[in-house]
Amino acid sequence: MDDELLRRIAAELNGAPETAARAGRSAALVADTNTRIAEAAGTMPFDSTPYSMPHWLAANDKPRQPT
Amino acid sequence: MNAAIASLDLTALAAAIAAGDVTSEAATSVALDRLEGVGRTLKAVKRLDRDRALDAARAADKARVAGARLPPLHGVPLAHKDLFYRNGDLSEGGSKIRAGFRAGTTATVIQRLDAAGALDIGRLQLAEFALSPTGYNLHEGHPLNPWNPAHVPGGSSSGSGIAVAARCVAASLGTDTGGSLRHPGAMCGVVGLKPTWGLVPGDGVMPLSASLDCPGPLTRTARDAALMMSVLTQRAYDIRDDVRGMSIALPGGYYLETLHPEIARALDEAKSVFRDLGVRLVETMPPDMTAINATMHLLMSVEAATIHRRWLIERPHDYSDQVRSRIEPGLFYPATRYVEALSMRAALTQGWLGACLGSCDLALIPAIPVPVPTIAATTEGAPADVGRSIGALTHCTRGINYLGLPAASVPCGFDRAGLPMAFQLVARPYAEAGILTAANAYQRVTDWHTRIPPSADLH
Repeated sequence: MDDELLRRIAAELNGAPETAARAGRSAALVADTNTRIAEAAGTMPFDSTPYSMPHWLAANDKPRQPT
Repeated sequence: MNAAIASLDLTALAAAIAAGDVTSEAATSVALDRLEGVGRTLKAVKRLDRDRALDAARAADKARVAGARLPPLHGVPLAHKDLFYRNGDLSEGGSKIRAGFRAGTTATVIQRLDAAGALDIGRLQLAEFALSPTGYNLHEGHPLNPWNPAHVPGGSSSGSGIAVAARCVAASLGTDTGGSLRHPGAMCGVVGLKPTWGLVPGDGVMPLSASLDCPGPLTRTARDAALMMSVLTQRAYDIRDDVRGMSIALPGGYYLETLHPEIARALDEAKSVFRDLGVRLVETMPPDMTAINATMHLLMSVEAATIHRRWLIERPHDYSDQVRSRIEPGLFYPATRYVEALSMRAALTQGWLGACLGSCDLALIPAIPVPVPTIAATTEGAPADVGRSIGALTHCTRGINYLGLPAASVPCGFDRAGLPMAFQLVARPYAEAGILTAANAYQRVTDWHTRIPPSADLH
């Protein structure tokens, strides 16, 4: 990933100039993580949402289910 | 007498105080003295409030003598990780940045412990902002492993692990975002239980990553962990003695990739113990962990960077470099990736459970797959080597936080250097009682949890 792109994200979008100066340290990790999640997300149903996890946990919370 | 009191586990100490065999004042004095001595030597203590603790202990003793109905932890002295707020008290998160911060609220879990009669006698050291599996704290001084002070105690709930292992307190609250209860549990030789995500209230606890953070107990025994969980969740945790008919899966693949031979031998012996107890052992194969580990890292760093962004702008040099480097990547990810990471969570968790547990009750995997490292190995030398040493510690723990599942580290031996080794039990959501039942059965026929570190000075 282009270090300059990360530097600008840190400086201009986050207003964190000290982080911008160190952006190159994160570049490989960010690029790798971003790619891996983008690839995995490509197999998700289009209507997947962050609510699925709380819903699934609630469904598995047997002590809270009405008896 | 002091050594005898310090040796009592939580269940035994609570019973002794309730019966009048030990006064709360005596137990609290012992805990305070041991934290001031052994605890401070091992750099496990942040602050103690002796006068308030002893006043509360005397009041607890008077209530018992007066015939009051006693709650389950009546008069039991406890101390907790310095992330748990009490209204008006300091809470500094192991950091330079939050020095002098006083909480404006009291954590629900602290309120529940108060209601259960426990005495809150102080706060314990932790990794800076709860962000290190070793317990690393550049500002406060690195905490020391009670079994060998040249080694790390595990973090981020380092002071809690040390204080419980060194017989300063019988139990302590910590938090677990990527292994921070299970690491000190494994490295100090005590039980660290990470509950199901969301089960134990996290309000009034300084957050690191809301999607991953789990407050929970460090104790010497599984039975003590059950007692703490019953107070923290206000649910019953009845653990059985008999585990015949239980089944434990043994995931291979990823979980064995980095396993050190000494740890492997200890895990094999633990499996034999379970087999002898009548547990059915089933080999399974985990799914590809790439996406799970990537999403865990992304959620942790993005949520941490959101909390820390103002300080990264205003006070970047007040972080240690190691901690700042773990937060900063979170500033760079697209928001769409963050939502995707959350959206995949239930499906990836169900996939992991299907592959790793199958039809079994629990999975047994390493807690940390390598021997406890030295402080030097995790702080000195080439950054890549240090990074590898630290990263190796979280190989088997961090993914479990993304999955939201309950898991506990259980001590199962000592390596050639005399440092603890542990296995990790993982279960389906809300199946903490199953984990604790298996761990309790194991502890009934083994004695690793009764060994006392030399630094505890109880011999």
